[in-house]
Amino acid sequence: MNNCEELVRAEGLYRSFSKYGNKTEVIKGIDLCICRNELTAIMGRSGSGKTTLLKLLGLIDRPTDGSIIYKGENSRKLFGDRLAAIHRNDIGFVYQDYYLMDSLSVLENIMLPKILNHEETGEAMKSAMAISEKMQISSLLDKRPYELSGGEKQRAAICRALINDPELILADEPTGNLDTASADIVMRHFAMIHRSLNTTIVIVTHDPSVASCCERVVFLKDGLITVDIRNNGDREVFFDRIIENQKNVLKG
Amino acid sequence: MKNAFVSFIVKDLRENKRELVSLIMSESILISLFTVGVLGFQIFSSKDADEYFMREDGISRLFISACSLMLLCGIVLLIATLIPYLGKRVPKYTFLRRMGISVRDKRRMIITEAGVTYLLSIIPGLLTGTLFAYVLKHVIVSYLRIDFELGSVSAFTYPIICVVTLCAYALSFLLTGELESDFGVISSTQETARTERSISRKPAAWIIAGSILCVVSSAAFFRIEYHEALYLTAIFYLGMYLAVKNIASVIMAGTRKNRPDKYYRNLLNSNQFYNRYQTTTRYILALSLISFLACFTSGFQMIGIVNAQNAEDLFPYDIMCLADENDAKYFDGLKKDSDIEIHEYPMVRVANLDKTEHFERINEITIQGQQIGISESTYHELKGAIDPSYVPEDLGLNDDGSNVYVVHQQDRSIKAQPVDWRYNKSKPDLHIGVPCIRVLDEYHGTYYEKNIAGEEIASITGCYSTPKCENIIVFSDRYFEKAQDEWKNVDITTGYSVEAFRAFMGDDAEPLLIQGPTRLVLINTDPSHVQQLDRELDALEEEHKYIGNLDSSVHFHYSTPDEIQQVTVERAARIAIGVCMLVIFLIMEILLLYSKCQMELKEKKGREKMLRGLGMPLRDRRRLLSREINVFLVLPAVFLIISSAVFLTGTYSVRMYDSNLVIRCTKMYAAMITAWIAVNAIFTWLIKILIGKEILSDE
Ligand SMILES: Nc1ncnc2c1ncn2[C@@H]1O[C@H](COP(=O)(O)OP(=O)(O)OP(=O)(O)O)[C@@H](O)[C@H]1O
Ligand SMILES: [Mg+2]
Repeated sequence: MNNCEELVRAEGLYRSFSKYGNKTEVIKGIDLCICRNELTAIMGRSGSGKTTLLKLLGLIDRPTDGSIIYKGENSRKLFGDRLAAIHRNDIGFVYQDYYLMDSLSVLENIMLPKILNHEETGEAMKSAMAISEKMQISSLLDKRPYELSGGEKQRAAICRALINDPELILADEPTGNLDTASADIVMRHFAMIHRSLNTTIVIVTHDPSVASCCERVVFLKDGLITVDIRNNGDREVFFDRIIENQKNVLKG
Repeated sequence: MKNAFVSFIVKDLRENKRELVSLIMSESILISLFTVGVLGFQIFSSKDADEYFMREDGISRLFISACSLMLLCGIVLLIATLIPYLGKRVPKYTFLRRMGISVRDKRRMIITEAGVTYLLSIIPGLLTGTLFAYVLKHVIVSYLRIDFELGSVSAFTYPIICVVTLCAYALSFLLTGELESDFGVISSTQETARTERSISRKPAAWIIAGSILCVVSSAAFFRIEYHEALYLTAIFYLGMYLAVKNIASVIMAGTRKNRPDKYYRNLLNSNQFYNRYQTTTRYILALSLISFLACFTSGFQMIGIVNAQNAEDLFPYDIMCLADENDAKYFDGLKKDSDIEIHEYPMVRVANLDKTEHFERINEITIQGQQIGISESTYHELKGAIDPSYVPEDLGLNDDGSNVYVVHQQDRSIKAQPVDWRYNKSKPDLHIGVPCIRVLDEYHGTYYEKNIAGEEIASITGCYSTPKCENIIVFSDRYFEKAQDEWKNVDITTGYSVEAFRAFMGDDAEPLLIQGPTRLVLINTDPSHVQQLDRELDALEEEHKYIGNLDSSVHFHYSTPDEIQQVTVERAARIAIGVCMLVIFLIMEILLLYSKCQMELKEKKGREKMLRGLGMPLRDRRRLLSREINVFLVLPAVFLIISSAVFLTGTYSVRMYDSNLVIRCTKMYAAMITAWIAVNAIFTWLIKILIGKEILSDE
């Protein structure tokens, strides 16, 4: 906590959805600070508001109340071209339902952030190849997203989020559709870029073993953060603590 | 139990009230449009009216063609409303099926639903349609001062309308299903996503085939014997579609392969081409075709009329009479009247094999064109009588009569008509004398193929009857003398020469020989005399039906006041229908584009969310959306201009417009297509705003 250089901070965050006058509170007052170069996991029951929180942190959604401070700046002041530039260059977001464009090939989907950045094509293609190689989908690059399996799509979406080397990666259940071996590859890559590039990473997951690779785990329940624990070095101990907390949270 | 089910259906329907109402409304529109068309056809196709309006196709036929286009437009409209409607209903049915509803109950629900919407729409549709048709009739009758008996509406009309519109309804359902598989508008699932090939297997072959079609069809359009046929424009468009589509696909594939920089720079902008080439090009084709039909067929028809010569100028004489030897006495009597100016010229009747576009059944009499054959010197006299400054020129005729000169006596504001209709022949088969009753083309030896040495569109005796009849065929003086005796050698029943007839029927058989009209009588006098003469000549009409009534539009005499009224009425009707068609085409064009955008809405919304998340600025996203829609404005406009240039030139050439007229018409046409494109641009802009409001957001 002491040497935390703040990257994103949520202050008294609220988010509700209203339809036909019925208002549902999803996020009910969250304070959360994500430090630079931290690897955080968010856990919680389905419907507890994890995706909603992640989208708020990624500046994709706007809070109904409270604020998001991104690099010391209130997100309300971020809009238009500046916000677009942040999305393009600084934040990589892996959506729970991927959001790949069916009308583009997998390669083109992965390259899209670079294309939007008007970067040089050869370089863009090279980095797309390299990242897809790491995620083991290089044989699928010419296919269309609808031809891929759920796990393959997931990895394509991860590649797209990583290609611009963003300083903040927000991944919504990036391993949800993957077998243990593939999930391991993804997590090891996250750990690698986290170490070598000092990337800040926040992932949402239901898997305790995935969470145990992280430095910090936040538990969400009914729109509030109930538990916030840190890894003190021993992964197995941390794993047990996660299991224990998960049980408590699930019990209600 | 039953009641609970019924109330469930009712409740269920009420939930989608908005969609239901718009569906019922568009269906009512379809039905009323169709009703107007059918009733209009019946009203204006009474026996008298038919004759009255036969200058080109007849007003009732105009109603039918307008009606079929309206039906098409109605179907487009119906599809456009069916999509959001089904979008709401189909998920419900899918859900019910998963819930285990029995097939019988589901069928009952669907039938009830379709039946209710149909019944609710048919009554207002029929009512408004009938009302509109009678208002239209009243307007046309009073405005154009029609004084003949109009046709009545038959009892079967309404059931037929119900059946046909039901079919249209079913057809739009099927088409919606087709669109559904194209776009997945209703139940977009990833399994149904369809890939479209962007390059065909043999592009070179298609490009060549398409170019050939373009060249051949436009070349044919420049020849009068093709009668400015609309199918040529269709072939041209098909050719252009094949050629342009394949050329573009080759270029696209080349860009993708060899110029990746350019390709990736335009990745999103050109995505609809790379990804859905067939659908995109088909839409462009459809929109271009509608534009062309609107501007060229409806629009130019009006421009032609606006710039047409006065109806009075089409008729230099008050009465034209095709008299025979027996009338000599009567006309000699008339000549004594000093108020009447009579010109008499020698003529022969010339028949050509077929003036209609269609074959009659085998035992029916083939309708034949009947023209006026004159000698070269008569031609020069007639020309001189109209224009004192006329200087005779050589017409390129020869003594054996194989060359003829043709004067198409017709209004230049209508399609140019060839002399011989059958087979689009450039060399007409002409027969001298009244038409033969049975013409077995293989055996006849009395219809001779003639070369057309020259032709013009002009009125030298008057544009009487339909343009298909009473045109002038000029023979050389030497041949004309021979031609005057030709009738003595032809059996009118079979079309055989007398010799062949005897050889076939035996020497005792008596061939039927008829001389036909021999004097072309042109009369000028004062209006009161015209009426009186008209009545007198009417009485003589009966004696001049030489071989039974082969063609009701060919008469013994024609009088100008009637014809002028007819031409004026017809021009007005044509303009009215042209304006209607133009508006309907415009509606079709806009609806087509709008429904396309609506169908892609869901997909675009998803893409928009993603692109926003990836950090594409709002400005760029708006530009992307706008560009994607603009393609459907710009490319059809380009094709409209290209094809208009080709076919306008063709029209000028076959109608033999002089340069003044060409300039006037071209200016007007240019103004019209500019206005067309501008109006389309405005609507495209509105569509962009509407769609943008749905899609674009910058939270
Ligand atoms: N756009 C929306 N409109 C209305 N309600 C929403 C919307 N998005 C989310 N919700 C509601 O907010 C709640 C939390 O949703 P969220 O997607 O954040 O859950 P989650 O924790 O990510 O669940 P899961 O683990 O299943 O992905 C849910 O009850 C959901 O119904
Ligand atoms: Mg979620």
